[in-house]
Amino acid sequence: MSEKKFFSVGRDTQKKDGFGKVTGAEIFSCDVILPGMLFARVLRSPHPHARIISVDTSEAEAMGAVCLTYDDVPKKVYNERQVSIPERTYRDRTVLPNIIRHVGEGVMAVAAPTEALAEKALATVKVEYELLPGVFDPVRAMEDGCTALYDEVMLGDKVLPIEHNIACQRVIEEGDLAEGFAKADLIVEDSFSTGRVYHGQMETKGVVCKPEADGGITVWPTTQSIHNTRQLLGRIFDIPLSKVNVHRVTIGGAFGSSIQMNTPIAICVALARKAGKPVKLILTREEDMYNHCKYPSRIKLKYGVTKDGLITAGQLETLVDAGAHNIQIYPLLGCMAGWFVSLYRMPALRFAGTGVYTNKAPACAMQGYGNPQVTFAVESLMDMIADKLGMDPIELRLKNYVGLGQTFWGQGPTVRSIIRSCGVEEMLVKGREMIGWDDRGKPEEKTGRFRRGIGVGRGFHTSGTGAPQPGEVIDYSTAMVKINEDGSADVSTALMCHGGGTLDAIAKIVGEELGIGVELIGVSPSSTATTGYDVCTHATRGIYCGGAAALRAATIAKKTILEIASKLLDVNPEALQIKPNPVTGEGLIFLEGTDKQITVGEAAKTAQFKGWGTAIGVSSHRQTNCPPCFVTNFIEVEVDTWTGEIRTTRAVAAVDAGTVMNPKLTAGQLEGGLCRGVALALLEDSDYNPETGHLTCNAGLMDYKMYTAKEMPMIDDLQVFFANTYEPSGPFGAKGVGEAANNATAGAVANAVYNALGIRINDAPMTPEKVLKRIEEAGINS
Amino acid sequence: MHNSRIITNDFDFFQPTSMTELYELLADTSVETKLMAGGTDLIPQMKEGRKAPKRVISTMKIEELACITVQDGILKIGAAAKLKKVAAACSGLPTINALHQGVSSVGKLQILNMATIAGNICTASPAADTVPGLLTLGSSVTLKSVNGEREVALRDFLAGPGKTTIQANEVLYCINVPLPSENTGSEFKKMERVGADIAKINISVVVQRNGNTCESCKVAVGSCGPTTLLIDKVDDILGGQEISGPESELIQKAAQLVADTITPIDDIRSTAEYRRKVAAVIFMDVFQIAWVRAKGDAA
Ligand SMILES: Cc1cc2nc3c(=O)[nH]c(=O)nc-3n(C[C@H](O)[C@H](O)[C@H](O)COP(=O)(O)OP(=O)(O)OC[C@H]3O[C@@H](n4cnc5c(N)ncnc54)[C@H](O)[C@@H]3O)c2cc1C
Repeated sequence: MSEKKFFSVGRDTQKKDGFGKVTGAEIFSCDVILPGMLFARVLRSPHPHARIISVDTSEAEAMGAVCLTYDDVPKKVYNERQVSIPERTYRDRTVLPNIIRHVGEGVMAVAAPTEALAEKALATVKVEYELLPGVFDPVRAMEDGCTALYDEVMLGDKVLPIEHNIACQRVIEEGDLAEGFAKADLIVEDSFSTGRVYHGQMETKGVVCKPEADGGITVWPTTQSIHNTRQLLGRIFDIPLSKVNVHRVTIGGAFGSSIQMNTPIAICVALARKAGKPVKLILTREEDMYNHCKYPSRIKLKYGVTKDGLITAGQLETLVDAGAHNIQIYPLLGCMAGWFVSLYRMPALRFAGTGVYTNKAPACAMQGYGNPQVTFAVESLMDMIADKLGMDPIELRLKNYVGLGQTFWGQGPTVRSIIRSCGVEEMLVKGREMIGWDDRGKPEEKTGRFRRGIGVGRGFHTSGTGAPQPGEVIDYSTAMVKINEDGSADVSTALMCHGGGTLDAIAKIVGEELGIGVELIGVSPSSTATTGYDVCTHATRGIYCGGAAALRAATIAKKTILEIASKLLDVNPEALQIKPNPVTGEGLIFLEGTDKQITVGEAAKTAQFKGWGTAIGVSSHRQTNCPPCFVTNFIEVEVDTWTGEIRTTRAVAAVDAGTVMNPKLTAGQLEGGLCRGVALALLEDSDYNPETGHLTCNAGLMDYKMYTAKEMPMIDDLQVFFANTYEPSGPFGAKGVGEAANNATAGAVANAVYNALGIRINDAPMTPEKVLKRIEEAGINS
Repeated sequence: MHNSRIITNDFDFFQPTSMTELYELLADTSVETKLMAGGTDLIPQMKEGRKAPKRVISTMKIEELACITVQDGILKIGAAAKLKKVAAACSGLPTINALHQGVSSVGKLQILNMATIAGNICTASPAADTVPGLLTLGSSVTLKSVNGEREVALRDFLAGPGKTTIQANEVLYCINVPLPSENTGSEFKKMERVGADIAKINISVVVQRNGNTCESCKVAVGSCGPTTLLIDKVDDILGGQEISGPESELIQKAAQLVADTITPIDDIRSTAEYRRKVAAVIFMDVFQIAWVRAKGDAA
């Protein structure tokens, strides 16, 4: 950690949108109301796979509804996720389809003066379908003779034929695999799977679109990237970007669910253009649940190790169920390889991944983008190796982890950089103490109905996707900082806050640089018309990448205000410093050791009167590193061996996030990530009925269950700490936290269950039904 | 796909303030009518299109329906009393702890502040959490209409999933819970996927104890049959018997009987096989606590 003392960074400060959110004053997409606005509803397919033969909208139109069908929409084939370069972007969908590929896919849409009327109009629409066989199992999907979801899709500008329903395949190899395994004294191999988890973000996806008189559109969507939404809308509807303005609207949580330009946005825009009126489209929970999910993955993992516990080779094969559309399987597989290679060093490795189309809701990024799935397998297998070698699992991890000075390519083979800060050892050593690792005992020593076990899991996520060289993934941010005439300042960026405090951190970074208290830094409302490009608030990049751009913009603004002050004080600008008034937050420009001083506000106001201009800075910046934020979880579970129920009784969650911007929010992020990670291990999944292709949970939260505070350890039994590190390439030493919080947990839970029972469960979620069966098979109670 | 945000079918809404007004409204049975208390079952069902009444009549503006009283050793819970109030009323009555727990376990705070026992009973869900306690305590319901009133034992009132023996012109007026003697202990347990969920299985046990002898044992199991099942045969095994320990052969026999008697199915919340296995375990857990309580030395 650097010796530098910060005045704003690292302190708990009031969240800027806190009051608005708790008083209900904050405006979300569903709160946007415009004069003459219509309400849209989408007709959803009850069939998993069908060709639309005809759509009769006459009755709905007679009721006064505006109707939108396949015939009305532009036929541009698009991919809602815009993050890879065009040559690596697979495109397979249109605004509305002519072939339905999953239950819940939009068939047509209506808009009417009230939502109730829209709903009634929808009920009168008659659709004739030609039913096609549904394909639900990804293994079956690849078999010869299986029904094809697509004959061809687009890859970049080229037509790509699709065979065996394979959406995308990647093989990544390094080193001599055969030699690596030949050097091993022990080879351990197993299969793992994780469930089809629904994002469960609090706010369902929604959008309001206003068609403008000049042919342009203004859009208020739920999105994590206003610029990608704008670019895609411009392309689909053939409108110059200067006439497409997308507003940043506060979002009610995301977890990745709005990482792409969601399909309702394009439907709403098409409806608004047809109606010539503003249209609002807010998904119901049911529609949202049929819209996206986490990538369900099956993983086969194999490691070779020496007697001393050094890994000689590793191989991971994965089958990913993509669902009905390929939303970036290509970068996903690159990342899954990256997650695999970046936890532990392997002289030789092979990754082979396949993404397969099935007639289910399409999977997309969610909290970790394949990382929790891979890390669950890796961390489970590490413990299996330790067990076989008779080695302490922590020792094995310390021996093999990828750390300081080593090359790291978490975001895939083209995003390589060197690790310059690393708290892995600190977290393992300190966490071990805190949880009481050495007293955890062995499974065979445990008796009685209720058995406790402790497990460890490591994990990490990248801070963005920047790298010294341009790769296949786009990553940069833009920010503007200006100093106002009263000494306050505004920062304007296209970054989003998903609830975790990203924009608060940006304000802190700017305030820290300017020498102004964070309470005087305003985060401007932003839109695509008023901000430079920012790829997306994803990949745990907000603070590290977006913050770096904001820092650079602030540095420029600071230089200008110091130049202004230097003229007024008659000193050299380089000699001046700024510090905030501890009470008011006002910046004071001063020359050390003298009484020469002026407040930032006075300097800015005088500059205004004298006509010297505004102190303003703009920066568009790509980070040339991609540092890992490491996490470590220690989890204690208690298993009721008579019912198979598992409780999380204690946990220690640690993160190496470099400089922590706001300790309470960071702790909250870790606790939230832990909660969702435990749920990945124990609870969350959404099955499909193999006959009908419908979700068995009926697409509602009554039967799609998520954990709350009730399932977490009691407050004193959940400890959080931060590794003492400083990332030289990050703004004020910061890295990300975001998704990292979720990645280590499922493996730690599996390892804790093993420590309690001596039973290893590789297919998450470990429901009581499953656990009890395994307990009986193992004969534990007999 | 239904729209869970809005109710699309049109209906008339009434909020009578007296029983007489209510009887008059109910006397017209020509249009499909639903009574509504907290609406926590009815409104979701209407949103999902599973119910589409033409008239909805709220019971919540009738003051006398919200009363909770004890008369002649009988706890009378008005049909419009909110669960939060019911729980508060039960908390001073240790022998009916099982009912207190069952009531408190319905949903979370928002639901407790809205919902009623009458609604819970009349929905006739096999998973209803207030019902096992009520059944094991031998409760009855009072039904009233323009033609007068009748009292029906709860076990006869519940006729199947979603079915009760109420007539179209009747309203459930109150629930009558006979307060048991002091040597009674009761306990309720609900197994659920998460901390606020509909039960995978729920069990209530009420035991009367004299020294180490079990005078009687009533058991009801929910979510394991078409209605909550009151398993009388357990009393045949345990009634009048000395209880030597929590896992004694006798208790295990009773537990096995519970597991054999229930008729669970596979559904989204669990499997028939699992429910059968854990029914025995939960019965033993619940019996043990009720047994200790009956002696009066447990909180
Ligand atoms: C989020 C959520 C969680 C829930 N969790 C649980 C749970 O954990 N356990 C559980 O058991 N239930 C649960 N429920 C279901 C529901 O809350 C309960 O069944 C509740 O007790 C219903 O009461 P109510 O007053 O809201 O009934 P209402 O919805 O008003 O009515 C339910 C039914 O009873 C009828 N009715 C109401 N009053 C009368 C009367 N006086 N005479 C005749 N008929 C009448 C109505 O016509 C209707 O058919 C949950 C519901 C939700 C939405």
